[in-house]
Amino acid sequence: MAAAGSGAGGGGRSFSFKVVLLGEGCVGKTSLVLRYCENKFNDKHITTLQASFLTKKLNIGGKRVNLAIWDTAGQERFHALGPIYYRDSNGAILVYDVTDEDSFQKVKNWVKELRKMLGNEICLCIVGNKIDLEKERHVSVQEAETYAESVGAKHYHTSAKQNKGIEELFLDLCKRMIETAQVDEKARGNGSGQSGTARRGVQIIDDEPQAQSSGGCCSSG
Amino acid sequence: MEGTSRGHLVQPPAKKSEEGGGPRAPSPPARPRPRTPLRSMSDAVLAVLAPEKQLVRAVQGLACDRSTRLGSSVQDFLTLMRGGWGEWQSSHELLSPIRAFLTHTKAQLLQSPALELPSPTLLPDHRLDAVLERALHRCVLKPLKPVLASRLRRLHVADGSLGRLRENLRLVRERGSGAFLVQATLPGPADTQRARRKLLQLLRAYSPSTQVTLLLQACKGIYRAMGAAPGMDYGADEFLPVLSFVLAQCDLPQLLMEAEYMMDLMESSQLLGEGGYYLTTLQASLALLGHFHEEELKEPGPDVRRTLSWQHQHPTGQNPDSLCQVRGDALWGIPCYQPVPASAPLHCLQILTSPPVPALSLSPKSPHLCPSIPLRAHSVPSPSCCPAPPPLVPIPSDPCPPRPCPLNP
Repeated sequence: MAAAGSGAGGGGRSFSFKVVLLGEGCVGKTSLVLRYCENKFNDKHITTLQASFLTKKLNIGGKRVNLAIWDTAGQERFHALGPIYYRDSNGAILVYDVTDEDSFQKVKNWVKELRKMLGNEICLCIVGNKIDLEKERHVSVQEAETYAESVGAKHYHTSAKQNKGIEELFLDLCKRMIETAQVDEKARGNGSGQSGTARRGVQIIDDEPQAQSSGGCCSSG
Repeated sequence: MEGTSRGHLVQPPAKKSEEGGGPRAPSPPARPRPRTPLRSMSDAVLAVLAPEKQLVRAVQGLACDRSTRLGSSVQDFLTLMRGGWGEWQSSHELLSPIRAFLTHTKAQLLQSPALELPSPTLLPDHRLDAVLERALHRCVLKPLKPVLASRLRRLHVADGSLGRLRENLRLVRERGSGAFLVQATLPGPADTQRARRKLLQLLRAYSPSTQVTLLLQACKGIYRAMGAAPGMDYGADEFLPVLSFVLAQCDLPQLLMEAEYMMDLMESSQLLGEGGYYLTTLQASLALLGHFHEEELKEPGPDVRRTLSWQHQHPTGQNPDSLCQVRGDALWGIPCYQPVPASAPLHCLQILTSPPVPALSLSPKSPHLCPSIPLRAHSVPSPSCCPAPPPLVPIPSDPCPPRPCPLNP
């Protein structure tokens, strides 16, 4: 559905991705993303230093990636608000606490919902956080990994406390989102740059393949 | 890489399309209209001192002048919208043609050499885009805001959502701090008043860019009032309940319409950013508040939710076209995003098409804003698939309240 916002600017390609962070209230979603973006706050943010919305810029093999990470409220009573947040997402990070079986069940619910609503175009990462509490683990590694594979998601183990596995998680996710965006772009007959209209669930598809409008530059935003 | 990947709104070199634009005399590098010496001088001064202001003023001048392409298209559009082509059934149907018009017009202006203004060259590309966006807000949204506000209001009065929200805001105020499980400090009356003032300004503004800035300022104030300890940052788990509590205190149910106005009229690139995030959070909070009474009525046990969760209500084998319905359900009937209705005026729809359209030459009038291009909307379900929302899925209170939930695991 919503392809990555991409636009050629300067030399390499650049991508803008929206990643939504889902999971129960106490699994450490916020710490995870804070750890990742630590000291990388963009001063342009009006709400600096808060963890609900964070951005990160990456350069992956010459491709520039602007990552916008959207936190969501994990309490059960807010579950119905999920679709407001995850619409048009390119990726989702579904976090559970390895010491809390219920939080893993919750992740499974999210997976079902996301697959149903957004199909296979959204890249899913299932993340078992708090591996520093290995002794209290209640979700078996094998169970989690098998489940992730069965739903076409990748599984990661992290510890926000010890800063383990987090870089890898985000880097992998970005690579997958780039791939998805490129596949999507090709499928649309090289209709890159269409991303703007693809958002908000309104998508216009032209019958004829684009008469590749070359050059020009209007949407510099 | 290959320079081909730019947006479809980009047209082939504008010179060409201007020449081929129509039977009318090809416009000499546009000379809009004679200017008074005084005006020219003040323009010249502005061009140096405030190129942005100058540009906004110039666009405004053109937009009011029916003898220019920009002017005639803007004025025609305003007339059309004011007249109300009456077929819209949701705020999105009402507003999305306007966003499409803004985007289209801006693209035309950006690539039109006829925009003969000294200042654009002084502005970097991204600023130029933003300045034109603002200028168009002034030309299009400022005159339309009152009409749109009353239509949006009518929609929400008719479906009962406005009354329900108003009532629920009262209910939450009565419940006080216990209405939501809040783990942070709740803002006091002074901070709430400050937030309210920002939100009032937001209600009065017509430009979604200005509105979103005001929203961010309000949110920032709320965060400040939540008083995070040094080194501790609040995420959505803490912010959403606090925002909802503050919104109840502020008692501004009109925000319901305003959030839709902003959501549909903001540029899509902005929606991905911080402004988009907090606007989404505002919508989420209003949805939560709008259904507060339903939660109050039912307090089912933890497993009830599982059996009633909407995945179960909508078994996976369901036709994917029911997406809209599922959304409506999951969002308690928050309007889902739909394509522009077939009833939209033809030229509004045409605006949505991206293939080459002749450049908007600003001087001679031309009969059509853009050529007819067949349009096929993505298979997003039609409004008819969005029936009245089914009964709310009861949601129990937070399953993990007893545990202290430190921010850092």
